[in-house]
Parts: sequence; C-alpha cells; structure tokens
Amino acid sequence: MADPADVGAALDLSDPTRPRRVLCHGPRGAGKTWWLAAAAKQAEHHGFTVARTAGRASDRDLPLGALAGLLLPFGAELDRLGSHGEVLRRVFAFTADSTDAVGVKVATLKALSAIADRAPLCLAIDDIELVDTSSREVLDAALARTTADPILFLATSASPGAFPADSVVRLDPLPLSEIRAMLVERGIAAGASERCAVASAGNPGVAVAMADGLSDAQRAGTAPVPDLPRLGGELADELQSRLRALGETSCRALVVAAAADGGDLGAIGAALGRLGEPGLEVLEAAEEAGVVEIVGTRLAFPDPWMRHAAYHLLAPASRRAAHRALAAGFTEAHEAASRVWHLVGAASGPSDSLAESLALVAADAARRGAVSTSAHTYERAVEFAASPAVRDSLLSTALRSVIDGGDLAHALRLADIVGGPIAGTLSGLPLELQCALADVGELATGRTVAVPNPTRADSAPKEGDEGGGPNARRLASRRRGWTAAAAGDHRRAIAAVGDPPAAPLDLVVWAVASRHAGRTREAREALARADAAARVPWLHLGQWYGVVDADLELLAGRQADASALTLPVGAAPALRTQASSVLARARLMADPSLDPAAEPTAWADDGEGVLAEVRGLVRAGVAMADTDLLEQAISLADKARLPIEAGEARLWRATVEATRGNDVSDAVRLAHATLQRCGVRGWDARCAALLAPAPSAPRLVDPAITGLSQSELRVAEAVAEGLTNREAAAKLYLSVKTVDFHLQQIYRKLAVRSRTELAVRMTTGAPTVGNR
Amino acid sequence: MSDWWQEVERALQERSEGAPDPWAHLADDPEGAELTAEQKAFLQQLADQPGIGRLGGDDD
Repeated sequence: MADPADVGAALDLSDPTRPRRVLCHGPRGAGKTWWLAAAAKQAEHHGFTVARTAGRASDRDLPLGALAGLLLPFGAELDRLGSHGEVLRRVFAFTADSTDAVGVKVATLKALSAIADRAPLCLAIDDIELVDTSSREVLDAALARTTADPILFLATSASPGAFPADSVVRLDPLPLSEIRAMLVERGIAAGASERCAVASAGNPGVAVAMADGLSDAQRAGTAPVPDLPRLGGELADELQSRLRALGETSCRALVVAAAADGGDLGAIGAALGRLGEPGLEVLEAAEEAGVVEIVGTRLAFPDPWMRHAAYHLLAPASRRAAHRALAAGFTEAHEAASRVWHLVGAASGPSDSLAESLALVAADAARRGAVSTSAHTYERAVEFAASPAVRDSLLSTALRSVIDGGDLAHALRLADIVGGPIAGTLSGLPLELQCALADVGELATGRTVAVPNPTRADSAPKEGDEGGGPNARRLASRRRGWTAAAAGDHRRAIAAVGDPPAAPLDLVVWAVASRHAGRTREAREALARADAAARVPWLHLGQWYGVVDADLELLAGRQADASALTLPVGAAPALRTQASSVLARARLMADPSLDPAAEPTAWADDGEGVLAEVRGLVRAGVAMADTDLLEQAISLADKARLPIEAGEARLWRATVEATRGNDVSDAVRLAHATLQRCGVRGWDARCAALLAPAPSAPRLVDPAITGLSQSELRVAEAVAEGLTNREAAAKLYLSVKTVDFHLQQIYRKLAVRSRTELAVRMTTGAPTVGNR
Repeated sequence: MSDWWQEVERALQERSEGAPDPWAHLADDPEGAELTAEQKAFLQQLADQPGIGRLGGDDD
C-alpha cells in the first residue's frame, strides 16, 4: 500500500535509523505525482522547508538544471556561503568556463547543510529519471555525506533503480475502497466518492481531480452525480467537450497554444495572425475557465491532459498548419532549432532538407554535451531522410556522434534501422556506414565484424595512413587500442585511443592500459568516469567494465568487491578467462597461506602478446616450483614495462624460495615496494606472511573495529590522526554533523569515551580502510 | 489499467481524424518550409565549434 503516511518514519528526525531517501515508483498513471505532493505537504506540516523540482525530458541534457531548480530559491543562503555559493551561482547561470565536479559537489553539500541548519529540509523531485545526470550525481554525493543533517529526500520514478534510496515505495493503483475512503475523508459524499473512485481506475490524483470538478451540491450528495467519464475514449470526450464549450474560435487558438512548446504569447499571437485568426484575446475565455494560465508573456496549461486534448481538437492537417505558422515566426539565426522542430511538426512525410536541418540541430546538441538530445534528434533526422543516400550519410554521422557521446545502447537502436551490425547486411552500404556499424557491433558483442575493403579500414595501420573517413579511422584506432591493451602493450593502446581518450567508451580500454602500466589510481579514476560503459552491463563493453573494475578493486585490496564479479551466460570466452583469473587471485589474496599452485587460473590468459607470455611463464613457474621460469617472467615483464606483473612474479618467486627454507626478505621487500608504487595493496598480507617468522602470531585484528562501517572507519582514522571534527569533515568531504554522528556510533561500538582512547585503540590492530 | 494513459492518447488521436480542419489548405504551403540560409549557416558554425565537456570526474 503506497500511502504517503509511509514517509512518517522518515520525518522522525530523532530516529537515527530513519530512511532519509524515499523513492516512490510505479507505472505511469499510478498517482506518483499525487503521492509526492501529499508527502511533501506532510513534511511541511512537520516543519520542513520543501524544495521542489521535476524532471523533464526536454531539460534532461541541461547540466545541473534540476539542482538549480532546487537551490536557487535559497538565494540568501547561497550568498552567505561565499565562494561555495559563487560556484553554484556560476554553474547555474551557465557562465562557468568549466565545471569542477568536486567543487560543485562540495558547494552543494555546504548549501544543503546550511539550509537544513535553519530548518529541516525536504527535497521533493518528481520524475527523477528525467532529471539530468549531473544533478543526480551531485545530489547522490551530497546526500551520502549529510547523513546526520535534518534532510529528507523524496522522489518519484517509473523504475525502482532511478536513484539510490533507503526506502523504496512501490505505488500500484489503489483499491477502489481506499480511493473512496480518501474522498470521503475530504468531505465528499459516499455516493459521489464511489463514482469518482470507479472512474479514476485506481489513480488517486485523477479521483481528486474528478471530485474537484463536481458542484458543491454534488459533493454534498444533495444533487445527483452524472456518470463520470471512464478512462480512455470517454475521458478524451469529456476533456474535449469542456474545451469545445469555449467556442470554435477559442478552440482554434488553443490548438496553436498547445503546439507552441515554449508558451511564448508573442509567437502564439503571430501564428494566429498568419492563420487568419483573431488575436490573443480569444484565449481569455480559456484563461477564465482555468484551461490555461497566462503569466507575463507566457502561457501554460496547468493540466498536461488538457494540453493533449487541446492539441487534438483539430484534424492532423490543421495541426501541421499550426506548426508551420509557428515555424514562420522563428526567423532569427539563433531561433533555428525552434524553427526546425516546428517544421518537423508541420511535415507530412520524409524530406531530405528537413533531415539535414535536424542533423545540424543534433550536431549542435552533441557539441553542447547533450548526448541524449543529440541521439534522439539524429534518430528523427534519419527517420525523415527521403533518399537512401541521405539516410546512409546521416546514419553514418549519427552513429559516430552517438558512439562518441558514449550512448552505446542508443547507437544499437540506430544500427537496427539498417538491420543491425551483426545481421550480415553490411554489404552494399557505404564504407563509412559499414565502419560505424562494425564499431557498434564490436563494442556490443566483442566479436569482430567483417568490413570489406580492408586496405581502407580493417588493416589501416598508422595514423595519417588510413583510408576512408572518420568512421573508418575510428574503427581502426579502437581495434588497435583493444588489441594492444589485451596484449599488455599499454603505450600503443594509449596512443591509439588518446591520452586521455576523447570518447567515454574508450575509458575502459584506457583503464586496462593504465593498469598494465602500473598506474592503478589513474585507471580507477578513468573507470569511475566510464559511466557510459557502466550503463550497459548487458553488452560486451559493460561486461569488460565489470571485469576491469573487479580487477582494480582487487589490486587496491578490496577483495570483497572483486568476489562479487559475475558474468552473464553469453559473455565472450576471453572475458570469462579474465574473470576466472580475477576470482582466483581474489582467493589467493584472501588467504595468504593458500598454495598458489592450487590456483593456476590466476594467470590464465588466452590472449596474444607479451602479457600472455609473462602470465604463461608465471603459471608454469608456480606449478612446477621453477624459479628459473619465474625469473624469466620477471625479466620479460621488466623489459615490457609491466610493473605489476613483475612485482607479482617476484612475489611468487620468493614464495617458491621460502618453501626451500631460503631467506626471502629482500626479495619480498622488493616485490612489495614494486607493487606499492603501483598502488597495489592486495598482496600486502601475503608479503607480510612471507616476511614474518613462521611461529609469529598473525596481526591482531580488533573485532570491534572490524565491525565499523567504511565511513565510520574513515572518520575513526581521521580523528585518531589528531584531526578535529571540522578538519575531519573537510578532509572527508562530509558535513560536521555527519562526522559528529559517526563519532557517536564509533564511541558506542568500540566502547571508548575519548579521542585519546580512540587513537590508542586504532593503533593496536585496526584494519586499514580499503584493506579489510 | 497500466496503459490507460496511452488509451486516452489513442482516443484523442482517433477523434482528431474526424475533427474540424479549418487550415488544411495552409498545411503544405511551401513558403517558409525550410531554414533560412542564415539559420543554416548559424547551426553549421555552431556544430563546427569545439565541444563543451560534460560534468566529469567523480574523485571524491
């Protein structure tokens, strides 16, 4: 049962375990917006200040647009924040030269903390899946660091995974009895409540709207309630009959108003003039009836249903005429995009000219970083193409742009227009399109797609010596990058994809290459930015992302994260081999006493090149306890500048030597130093075990400290270093209240009473963060 | 129930097929059916500009 009363627990600020992020999801029309409004109202009654915004498809690519909607109303607080407030004002005004992600997150954290310090704060976001990615990232980071602040986050979404939440509320259509009871509670007579409940089909928002439309006498039950419209056709009739009651002239004006997306009264008035209609005064009746609202120079439909109903009051040809009349008003150069979209609304069929105009709008969106808008606009451009030549050319450009933007799933949809890259339908298409399709196919499946005319694409060996156009060059360089990275030739791989890579999808291969180069920190940072790959876990690239991520987590000493690695049934064999290797290494790291010979898959590599050669030597050396083979592996890894492989091979050689009773301390220290330089902490325990005399007791690990959460452990370590709570908050990007909160939990869990006691406790057996 | 919204949209679409059509004669007017040369040039020069970076790294 999805009752806003469910947020009651979240409003209880005295309860430290209260849910702080509540996400309501359900199918369209289930009443999510109504739920959010009711929940926000409840928060207001509890003294919360409510900041509201809603995701809109049209604003999805406006970076930080939703965050601006939430925070700009708190202008005074932003001003008081000094430089942090300025950071936010600059990015909200789009006047910043560049956007510093960390700076925005810290400034948002400060702003939320300051606003909530004055009064409990409730952030309410409708349709969060339509909120721009940047806003979601910033809010996620800031909310994670204000756990003890009086901040409540409420959001609605069509899917349960749209935003991390402590409490997820599934909203299904309400039973009639509940809607009826809800209306009765609002003072509606039982009979009228029954009629509205039945007609709303389970949507409380619709039921309330229908009840609001009744007369006072009908609500009181003293006048009969006519049959209310059932949903579907009857509701459509009901909505349109209300509009038609305003008169034909008003209806015609409303069609133009509904077609004018921005609601600019000047544009609507001019279009009416072009259509030979009277001026804007005919909309007064609609305003009086509450169908539209006019504020300043803008017109809006408060009820989106009414807008749909108004748009369809006239036949399709007249709607097209309305769009054409609106398009004619956008004559300035900077109004080109508005004109194009109205021309799309005015089009009655394919048009190469319109398709090419749409492609220009799409290219501009891509330039602004609006990846999703660009992809959808390109898709429309391809749909409108009249001739095969224009379609192929547009598709080729669109695929390149969409792949460069990192939207692989959308690129696959575009590719399906010509039967998909895997369907063997490439022959007969222009080479550039074939290369773009092959590129999509290979990123999606991991299987090489044959492209004819190899001299121009497949075997293009060097920059500047490649035939074909940009797609052929892109395909060739991406193939070179993957091949080189798999072989351990990190310099060639990085040279192929760029340093850093321009395309988000290339961040995965760049991370692989950096890892082989011993730069695990940079590799992890690159992977953290590879959200384009993380979003497609069902595709080959996304699976690679998972394996590389697990490998890097393992090297950093986070074995538990790596152990969670799973691959779907259809994953490529090479990827499975790599995943098995990661899991075997995780087992060797988790248990320093485990004989490496028992885990031969730890060095499994069925690729080609020096990396596979080194791993093959290690595998054989470990299996046969042959230090000569391991020495060869070290020599080869050093020569190929594979420092992690070299460090690990030294560790295995020392392991073999130790079984023979030899002193291996220098060798282990050298291995450990090599690995540490590369940011590898996963073998620390094994190195320590080799260095420690056999009978010595293992390092004492305090079970109470092991019981701390990662966040608590970070706070405990910072405080044990001697930092004040404020300094710890600054260092860890947390609010001071959150540090206070964590510290209370830490004191309780460790049964210590002072910072000194905590420091002593932390130096006598605490595990290290990131190495638990 | 889950597709009731689409049902309303479908119904509105169907009803519009037989709705009044006062501007049908203006629908396919070729005048102003394309971008102006200045607008094409404007979009072209925008598309030729270097790209703007997205909100990037998450290094906290």
